[in-house]
Amino acid sequence: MNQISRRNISRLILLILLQVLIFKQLNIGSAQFNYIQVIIYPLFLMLLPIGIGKGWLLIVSFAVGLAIDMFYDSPGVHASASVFTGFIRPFVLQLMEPRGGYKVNAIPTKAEFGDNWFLRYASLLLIAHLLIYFSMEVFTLTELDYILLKTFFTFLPSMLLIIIYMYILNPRF
Amino acid sequence: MQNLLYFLYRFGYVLLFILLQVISINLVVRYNTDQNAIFISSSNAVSGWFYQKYDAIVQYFQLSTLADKMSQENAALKEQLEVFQRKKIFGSTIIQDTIYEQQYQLIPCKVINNSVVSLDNFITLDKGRNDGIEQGMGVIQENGIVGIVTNANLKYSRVISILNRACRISASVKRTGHFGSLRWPGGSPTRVILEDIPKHAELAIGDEIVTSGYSSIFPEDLLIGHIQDFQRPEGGNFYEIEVKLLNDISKVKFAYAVKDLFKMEREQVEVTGE
Repeated sequence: MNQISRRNISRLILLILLQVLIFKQLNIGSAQFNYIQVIIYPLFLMLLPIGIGKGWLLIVSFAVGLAIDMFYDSPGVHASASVFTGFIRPFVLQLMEPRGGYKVNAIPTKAEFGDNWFLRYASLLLIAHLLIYFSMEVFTLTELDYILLKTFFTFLPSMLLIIIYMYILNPRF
Repeated sequence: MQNLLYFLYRFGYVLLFILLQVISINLVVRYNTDQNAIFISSSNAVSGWFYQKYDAIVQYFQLSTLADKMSQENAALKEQLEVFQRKKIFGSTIIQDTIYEQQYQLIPCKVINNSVVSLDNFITLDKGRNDGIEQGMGVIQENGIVGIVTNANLKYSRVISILNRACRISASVKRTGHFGSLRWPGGSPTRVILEDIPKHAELAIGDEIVTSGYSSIFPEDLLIGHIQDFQRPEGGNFYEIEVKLLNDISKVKFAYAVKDLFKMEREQVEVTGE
């Protein structure tokens, strides 16, 4: 096993532990205002190497989603959101391709492409992930306001924590 | 043929994407209708073990508040015992009273996983079939109800919280005796809706809501909460009653699974009529 896959596996374990043992246990918000959740594990999908095959990316996303579902008691919900995130990631990367193109082994990190680029990249993927997640959770489109409110108020703290994570650990690969 | 292979090479991942989404959606849908036959849930061995270890660590930080709560509960129970014993001592005749035969047995459990932020919340308990917990048993707290056991393996069990869209619990208004079913609309963890109370019932804000005892899941007359507000939807025949729960599910640490010792007899008479 090479260094990159070792690094990704340890990152996966760390993120699942953080997600399940800390952020799932937080019940932020009051009785009237119940829209805040913290979801940071999609960071793992964001930080996979750019060169990873599209099929593999989908399979990995599905597996990660199922693992999170196991702890959230919500079979399929996280899996569906993750698969969607994995599906649109190549398009987002294409959209944000820098002028010279990507290097073969590049990793989409803050260290490699700069703060601004990473912020836009992560925001896009996280918003997409959360939208699908809450839509699948509600499973009807009649509660659109609920989906949008939850997405918005979950996005803010989650993104903040992703940024903090990137500043503390600053992964390069 | 070559074209087909090229197509698969080019767009195979789209097919894979669709396939995986179909599997996911299938899981979501099947899970909501058929709660027994599901493999991925927190009562399964891996995540159950995990949550228990986690809880063992975190609990140290809450010991003092827990001890306070426990001693309060103890005191309340002692008071009740006192009353009961006095009755026995001063009772004038000795009756071989079969009415007081114990019907419900409470199995104390620890809550090792809980959530209130989702629309479909579940709770994991640290006891399972080894300790006598079975599917369909009610779970209560010292001051209210918590949920119903949906599946139990040997060591852990999973409880559908009353804060779950799929959970319906039969409850009645104590003063008038009308009964309906409780449902959670999402949002606040201490507010539920009582439905199916006919509109001729005369309700008042502050009325006590208790378990109805029409199923053997919960003991009868267990206080659940109070009426906070009620309204009659236009053209409807039933009230929509807002109930404020006594307990706060987001803070539950210990709970009791309710075992109905007469369940078999009851079901026998209800099903076969014998």
